[in-house]
Amino acid sequence: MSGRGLIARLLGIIPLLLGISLVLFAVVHLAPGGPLDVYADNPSVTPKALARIAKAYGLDLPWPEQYGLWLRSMLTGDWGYSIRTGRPVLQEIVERLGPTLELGAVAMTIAFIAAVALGVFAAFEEGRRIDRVIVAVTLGGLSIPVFWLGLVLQYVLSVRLGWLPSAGLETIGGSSFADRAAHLVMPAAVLAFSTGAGWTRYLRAGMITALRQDYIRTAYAKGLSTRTVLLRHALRNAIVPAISIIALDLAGLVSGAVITEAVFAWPGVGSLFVESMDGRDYPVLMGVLMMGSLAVILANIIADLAQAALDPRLRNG
Amino acid sequence: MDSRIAIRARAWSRQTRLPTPVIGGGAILLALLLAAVFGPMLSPYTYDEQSLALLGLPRPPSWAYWLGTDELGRDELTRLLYGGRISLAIGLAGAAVATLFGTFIGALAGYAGGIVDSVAMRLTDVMLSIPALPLVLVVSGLIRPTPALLVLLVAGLIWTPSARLVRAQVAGIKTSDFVAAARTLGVHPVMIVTRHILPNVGGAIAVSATIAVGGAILFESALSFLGFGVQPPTPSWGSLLNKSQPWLVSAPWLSMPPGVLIFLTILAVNMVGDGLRRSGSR
Repeated sequence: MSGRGLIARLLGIIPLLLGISLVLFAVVHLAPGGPLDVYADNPSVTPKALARIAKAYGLDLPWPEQYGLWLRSMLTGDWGYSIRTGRPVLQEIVERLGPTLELGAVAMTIAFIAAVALGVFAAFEEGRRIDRVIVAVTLGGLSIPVFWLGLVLQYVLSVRLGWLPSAGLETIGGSSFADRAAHLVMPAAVLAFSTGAGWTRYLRAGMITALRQDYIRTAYAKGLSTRTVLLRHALRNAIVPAISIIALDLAGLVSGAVITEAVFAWPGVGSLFVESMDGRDYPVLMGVLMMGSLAVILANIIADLAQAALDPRLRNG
Repeated sequence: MDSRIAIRARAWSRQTRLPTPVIGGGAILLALLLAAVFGPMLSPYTYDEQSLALLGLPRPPSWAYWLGTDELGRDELTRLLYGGRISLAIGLAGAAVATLFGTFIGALAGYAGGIVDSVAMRLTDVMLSIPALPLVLVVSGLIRPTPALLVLLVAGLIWTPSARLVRAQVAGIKTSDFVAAARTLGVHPVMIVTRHILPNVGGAIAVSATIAVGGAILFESALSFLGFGVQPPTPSWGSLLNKSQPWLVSAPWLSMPPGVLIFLTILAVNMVGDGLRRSGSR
């Protein structure tokens, strides 16, 4: 991508984000009941108090004005205020980003290393028993619902064997590095397995295609070692198409691994999202969705840049 | 798998020219469908029938209740079979609606080109950028959907890949000679797309529809697991798992069966999709 192309791509983010914000705003505001529906059945909230709350959050304004106000707070301010806690949305999200990124970084590192190793190995052994085992396991990883895998692990490793703590970030009152690490094992394993399974399949498919190319025969003929041929020549080509999938999965983490975090009571953005669902806390929900969307858009651009860096044919393409 | 069954499946796959995984996956799906359709009829209980004597705590499996009862004294097996109807119906219908809508939008954008194409593709850009599960959570939390609405909701999320696929294929085929010939003969554009172009895209649509079934079932079960999908007392596999979660320590027999069934269903769908794709690319 040339410098001008990159600038055009970055400018293209703006209309895309506007479109996304309109869709989200419409979704939240076209719903029956609206944000204050939670209070509607509460006898201790009088109609007068309801009107006051509506006014405080600008919910009495016509919707184009509400949209404008919200957009302005997304651009210049604190993304609005949480209905549940009254605190700025940006602050609420940033606080939860730490655990989410910690879980995500560990899980994705494991997933990436495993996917590259297994993908390369399976492609090298294509059609043999070990390859079929790897393909079957990854198909299982794609098919197993993460919430159920989480429950099974909790039951076996925590309830039955008592090896690992079943949920949470750390033991309340007695936190140490070992304690935090023990809490991280199960959620990270579940997340790594479900994400890594897809990556392994992409890398295996890419490697199989790459290994059939003429340049691989040339590389062997030059007398290069199998290791060099696999890693330097084949993998470099096989990884290019996989990058877009990997980037998208990484971006998906920013809005939290909602299910994994919910199962393991991991206090990240995903849990914040589910809690905000229960409280119908629209400003927070919309904030998380906007942030998640931005992450996906940026990941797409970064993936394109990375692919161009790895594959000269994609430059100026 | 039992080796005799494997041999039989392989022989059958040679006759029908479908890959073995397609036959195997299809057989699992058929078995699950039959169990869901006829199982509740054979059961002596109904899905919301409560035994007052068993109220209060989940009971372990017994001769009267093969998979035990839940804390409201309802037969777990009957709820599981009935829940299968809901989960499978939402999965299949959601995928069907998504594929039809995606095909329609994709064919329209691919054939019309120009501004229609740009608008449709920007719309898929927007939809593909918003994180899917959080978005569907918000919508379903807002409207407390009935199963029929859930179908539309799930379809509204997963139509984009098939739209993009169909668009790319239609845009490619549009320039072929036989399309030009049909156009010269004065064939109506709708007929050109439905009669001449789409039949050539059928294989690709079939693969993306299979993938959509897996996606739809996974979305429904995830939504219901988090408590925002199918509403009680109607069971679905996801909501049965949700209800079993607090009893994981004292009544683990409640959480295993629904999870196994969701896993089996998605595994079967993926086997079919994989097999179809491989036989298509050969």
